[in-house]
Amino acid sequence: MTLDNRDNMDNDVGAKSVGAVLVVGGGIGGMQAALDLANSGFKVYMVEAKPAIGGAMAQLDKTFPTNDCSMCIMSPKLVECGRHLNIEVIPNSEVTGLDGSPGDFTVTVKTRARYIDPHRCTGCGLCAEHCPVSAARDAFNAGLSSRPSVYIDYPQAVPLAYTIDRETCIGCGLCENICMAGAVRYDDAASTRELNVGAIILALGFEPYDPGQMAEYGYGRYPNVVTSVEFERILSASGPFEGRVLRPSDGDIPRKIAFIQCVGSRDRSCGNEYCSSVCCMYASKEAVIAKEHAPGVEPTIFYMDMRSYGKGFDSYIERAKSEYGVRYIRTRVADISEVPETNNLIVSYEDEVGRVVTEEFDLVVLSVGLEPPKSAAGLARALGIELDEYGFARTGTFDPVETSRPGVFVCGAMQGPKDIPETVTQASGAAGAAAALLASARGSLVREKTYPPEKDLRGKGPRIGVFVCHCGINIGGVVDVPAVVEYARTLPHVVYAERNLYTCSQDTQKRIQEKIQEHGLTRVVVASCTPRTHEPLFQETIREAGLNHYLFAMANIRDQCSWVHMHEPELATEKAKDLVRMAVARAALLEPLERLPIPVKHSALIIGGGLAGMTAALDVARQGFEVHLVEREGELGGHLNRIYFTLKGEDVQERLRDLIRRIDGEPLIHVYPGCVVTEIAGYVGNFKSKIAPVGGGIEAEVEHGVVIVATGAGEFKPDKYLYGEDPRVITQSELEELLATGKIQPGSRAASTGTGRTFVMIQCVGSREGERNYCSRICCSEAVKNALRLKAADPEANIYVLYRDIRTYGEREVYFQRARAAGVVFIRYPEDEPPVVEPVAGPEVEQGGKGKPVGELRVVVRDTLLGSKVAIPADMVVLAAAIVPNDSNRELAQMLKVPLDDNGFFLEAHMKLRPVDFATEGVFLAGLAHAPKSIDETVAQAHAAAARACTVLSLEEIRSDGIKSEVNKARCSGCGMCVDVCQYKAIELDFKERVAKINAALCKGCGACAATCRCGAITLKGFTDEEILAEVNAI
Amino acid sequence: MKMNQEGEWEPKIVAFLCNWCSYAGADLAGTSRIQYPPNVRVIRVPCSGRVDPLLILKCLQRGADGVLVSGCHPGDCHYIAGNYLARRKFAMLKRLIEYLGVEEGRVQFSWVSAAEGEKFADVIKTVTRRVRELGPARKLVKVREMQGGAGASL
Amino acid sequence: MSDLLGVSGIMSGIGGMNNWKRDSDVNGAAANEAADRVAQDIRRIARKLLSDGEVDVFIGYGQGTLPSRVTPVFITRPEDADALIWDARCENDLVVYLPGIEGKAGVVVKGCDGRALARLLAEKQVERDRLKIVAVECAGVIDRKSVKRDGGNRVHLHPSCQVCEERTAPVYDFLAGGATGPVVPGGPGDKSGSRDPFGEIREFEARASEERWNYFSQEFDRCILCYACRQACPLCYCPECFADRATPKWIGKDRALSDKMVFHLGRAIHLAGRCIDCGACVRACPMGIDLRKLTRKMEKDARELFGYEAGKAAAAGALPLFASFTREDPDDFIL
Repeated sequence: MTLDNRDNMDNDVGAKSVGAVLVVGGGIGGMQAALDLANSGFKVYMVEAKPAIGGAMAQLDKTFPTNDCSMCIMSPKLVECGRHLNIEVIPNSEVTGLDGSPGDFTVTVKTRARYIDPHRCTGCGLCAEHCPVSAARDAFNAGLSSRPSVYIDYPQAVPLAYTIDRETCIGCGLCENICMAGAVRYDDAASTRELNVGAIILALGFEPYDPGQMAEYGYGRYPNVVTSVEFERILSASGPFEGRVLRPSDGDIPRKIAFIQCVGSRDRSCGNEYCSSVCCMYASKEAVIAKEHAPGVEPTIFYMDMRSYGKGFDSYIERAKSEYGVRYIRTRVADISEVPETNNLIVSYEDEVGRVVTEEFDLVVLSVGLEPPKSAAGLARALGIELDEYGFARTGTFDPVETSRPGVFVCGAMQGPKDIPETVTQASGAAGAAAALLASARGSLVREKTYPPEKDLRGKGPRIGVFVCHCGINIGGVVDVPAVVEYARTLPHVVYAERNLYTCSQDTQKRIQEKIQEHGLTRVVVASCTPRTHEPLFQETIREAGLNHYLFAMANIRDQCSWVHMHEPELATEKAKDLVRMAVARAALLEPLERLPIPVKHSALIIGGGLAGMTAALDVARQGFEVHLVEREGELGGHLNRIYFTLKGEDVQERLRDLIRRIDGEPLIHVYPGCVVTEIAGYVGNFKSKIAPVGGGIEAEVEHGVVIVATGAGEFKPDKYLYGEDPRVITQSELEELLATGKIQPGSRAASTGTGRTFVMIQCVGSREGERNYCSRICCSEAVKNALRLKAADPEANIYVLYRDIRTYGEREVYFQRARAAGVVFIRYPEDEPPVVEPVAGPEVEQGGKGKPVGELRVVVRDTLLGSKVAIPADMVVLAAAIVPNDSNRELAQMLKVPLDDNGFFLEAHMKLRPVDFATEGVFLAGLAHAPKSIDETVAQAHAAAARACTVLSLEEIRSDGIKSEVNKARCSGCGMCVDVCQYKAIELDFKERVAKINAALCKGCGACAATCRCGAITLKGFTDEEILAEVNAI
Repeated sequence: MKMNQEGEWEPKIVAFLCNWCSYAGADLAGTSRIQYPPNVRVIRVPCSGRVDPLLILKCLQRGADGVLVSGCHPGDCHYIAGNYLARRKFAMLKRLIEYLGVEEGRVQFSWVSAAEGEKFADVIKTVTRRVRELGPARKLVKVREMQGGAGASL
Repeated sequence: MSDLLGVSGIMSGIGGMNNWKRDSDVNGAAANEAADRVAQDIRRIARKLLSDGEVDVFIGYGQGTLPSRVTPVFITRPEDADALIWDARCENDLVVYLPGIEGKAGVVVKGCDGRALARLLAEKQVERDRLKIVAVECAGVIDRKSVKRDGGNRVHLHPSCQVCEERTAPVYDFLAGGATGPVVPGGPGDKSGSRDPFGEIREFEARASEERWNYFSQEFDRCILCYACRQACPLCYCPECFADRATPKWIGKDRALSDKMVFHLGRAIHLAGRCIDCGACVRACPMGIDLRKLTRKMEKDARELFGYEAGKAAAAGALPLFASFTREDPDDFIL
């Protein structure tokens, strides 16, 4: 979208604004967008083409770089979407038409026949058990297994309803006879409905490239050549081989596995010139997980450039190499042939010095690229949005979530290949953009959730139900789950125990609720993963069944047991029993607790006035909330002040002026230039902060409900390559400035700089080395951008880019190819032998008119392709300086009580699914403060942070945690030690009664007072001495 | 006393982990599949500042062969200063019980952040190794047969 | 333990003396003289405070029913002030009575009592404006047990007095008898470098771990959990002691050694940064357990690790030891 129609969009929302949004696509992006919108006052319709939501992430076994179990981390979101009062999931459907204008669209949705009434189907699976057809292709398992004609994709599916595949169904009627719920509808027909929505978010995701088109890799001909999607299913506990690493031809465990990268990516011959962004990492992850499942496996990854550009990615690769022994070979595989007798595969490739090598493997995995979904073209026509030449939705660098049609937004891989956190970020961003558009209609179409009254448990002893999770094979593969269940049954107060494949799935939530009623349970214990991610889900489940949230305890038998004791199953099982026993002992003592309502201050503090801060500020203001925008420098803009053009050629300074103009024109935004935040007190919904001029003093004290950290990052000041010593050695951003201001006139030696026609660019200066073991992500694209500029101005210019890996991920790759085509020379240098920049004696030139003669510069580099050293005489050396975290991060982190990562950037709540949240509620993150990233990614993250912040700001009140301290007056001596200990000033002494009194609204539940009170007068509810001692006694 | 399958003694160690840093670090060790000895039984607490020294004494009394309390690094406490407050108490308690004659190493403290899965595993390895060297706890242990295994309280 | 400064001779008559005097040498004579002057002054101050209505009750020492014993007296009429005495037998810590007194009170405090009072004030158990503090410059109190142990031949100051570094209360309204008495070497207030107040603890720390364990096992095994130490302690004032709690039951009732130890360790922790070493617990213990071995250790560590002295800190308005911290607190014990 262009600048102009964005302005139009701001103004074009007519008289009518509909408080509902259509989300097309129910993958992780669609779910995130739907949840953000539904949780900030909008009705959401989620149209999904498949019978169930979940998308590609549901098919994944693990996710990089944390090796989190994909289903496990996604499951809470699946369940929340499935049971959210204001999200209507419309599966098996597609959008066929769009009418109206932003704020008031009419969408036509066509639902295909499912032949099973999803409202009646209980998901019991009897129909599938009795279906006489068994050989239908199971698409969810990538065709590696078969399924009946009546089926469900995966056990946690939402909605949990079966579907009849009429193409293979023989119409025998067995399922109809056997279905107790009467859900089978042979006469079901497609139907069409119209939805009235104010905005649309497209989250169609991607389709994996079909390598059948590439003859050289033998896919489809050789049984042991599989795609990475197939291999992902092979690795999955719920996959065709239940997580065992087996090869399709004979079911043997493969020893040598080859991963072939860039299949359907970076390949002009198949039409996909772009890089798919995720394959290097997912292949490494699959190699690591395969090794974990079958330690004898020897994985080799054949790659072109290692594109581990994201947060924590490079160190993941390092661990894959050093700890898992994954072998990486840089080459393009030319051919794969089969040994007919063994079905083994001969992989031929050129090694680094150009020799042709052949090597035999037991299994080959093709790392297939990401393509736009085939339905995208039709949908684009129906909606009237533009796609780019590869079929991804066309967006601008500064408007990464806006399609060419106002009111229609996009997120995730449909906008371009990207990984899960980028998708989730864009999804929140798109939700924020939609919410901003429809702010006036917020709350008009939503329903409030009501709970059944809490059961009166007074006088009723503890009746505990224990649910033990297999977590696929994550737990069950190590811990003897049935034995744990048996053991749980013997524990005091346990009246019921069972095991589940996934305790977090939606059907298990229903089961837990049924068991609560059936057995009169008064406490629930779940033995599964970590309470840090899953406790809220189970608490919600039991609350819906009439039990107080806090009558729940968890035993972490995965993250802190099965995953860390993989080679000691007996001891792990013993530990799991102990952990269950401890949780049961604790549960028996739990008491119902109250969650106090806390009013929310409807304003945001945004720290940092660069691109991220400004974008977030505008979003929050457009959603109708006040913003305090604090910028350390005297003017807004941050790094943007020193960027002039984008890779796509957009004028950055024009956009910057536009942003500042819009901020100036926004009455809800208060800008504090030249100021810093010196103190932040309070908690979500109720912060109080001090803003002071950089030099000291006090500018303002503000109250706000949320904080967005957008403090950016710094640029590494190179300490080598003669930087700072020789004026001809500059950084990429300095080059950009020279280019933009016309100070470099390629083709002639500029008097001021002495620039000639040869430019040598050195990559990874300060990145991927020493303590900064991370990739700065944008430098390769920067180099390509500036090289193309130079070439455009002077086609004769000699440009050399000395690199370690070219990381022009996504569609940036296209510009890399253009640069190569334009004659830019890319030379890879070895990690342990960086280039040397040196002055050489020779004909001296006058330097800058200062009369100081200097010799020529020369760059010596070992060209890994040639295997020898090359000396390049350079007129200018351009360094890709790393992005480094601000020194002030630590201070701010401590002020906010949020963590930093190993490199000093801010650490988000969850790398995959909470990329803009902190674990501390009410504090959000955007831009370079989080990690190096490009302009479009920064904008998307800023939109996302604003959207997430507005989920808080749109609430009238939030419910505080029930974990609070409480004083027993009879025991209190009134000594006042607790008053001194409390860091939140939540306790004061009542001098009349000589007792301490706690202000529950201020109490954060840390328990320092309880641990300090000698008299035992203070109890931290939820973590009482009795409850903790019950666990101690149960060890 | 807990024996493994080879009939060797397996120490049992109680670890109080603060919810925000060390518990998250332990989870990270899990997601990173960093293997460590299975001798630790974790009790999640909101903050290391919640850990009353009496609770540590009760662990020893209950027969824990080792006790670990782990919180956020100085300055990183989710609750501003809970770990600083805890540090003073722990410094005094550790000296006191070792002075009493309880072996050095039975009771340990650590700072592990949410980003330190590796460090968490290392801490557990260190503590377990040390406790293994010390042998089964006997000092301060209250000798009493557990009745029916579970739920017996002191 | 050091001998009481050559005053052993006077001890022969301990059983029959009504008026405790030290008169066998120069120091003793001077001390006796000073004590008399102090006693007179206490009586004068008490009379004045009572007759002026400044206090409703004056708490001091009077002669007990046994000749060797003094007893706390609660004077409410000016004319009864003559019953007040002061000498080296006045071991009781009178501040323990203050929290229970309604109205305004005057109280006689030695150095240790004054430190305890400073803590009670800081811990808001006593209100300063209802209080008149009459300090005395203490020369130490006699350890009756040691007298008994030695068959009455040798007199020792109480162990606490032998390491007492401040013989006068840190806060007071009156200093009875003025600041007159010389500091007796090895007695209260002796800060000369020759004396290490924690020498005994240091010596004990240097012993092997097993030896320490055996020592404490023997000591605490004798404990009958009568809680006399707690009752005597001026700083044990919890409405309900952790040792008495039923839920959670911190201390079992079957008198296992482990329970006894947990009680004494728990009590020591509760006294960390608070115990001012008045020695009341030791005097109260019917089993003669070496309780100060633990409490002095806490005192020593609080001072070494955090520069914290219970009485001084309280008087200076510092936060309690366990309610304060610095970034620079010792971190070397943390993994």
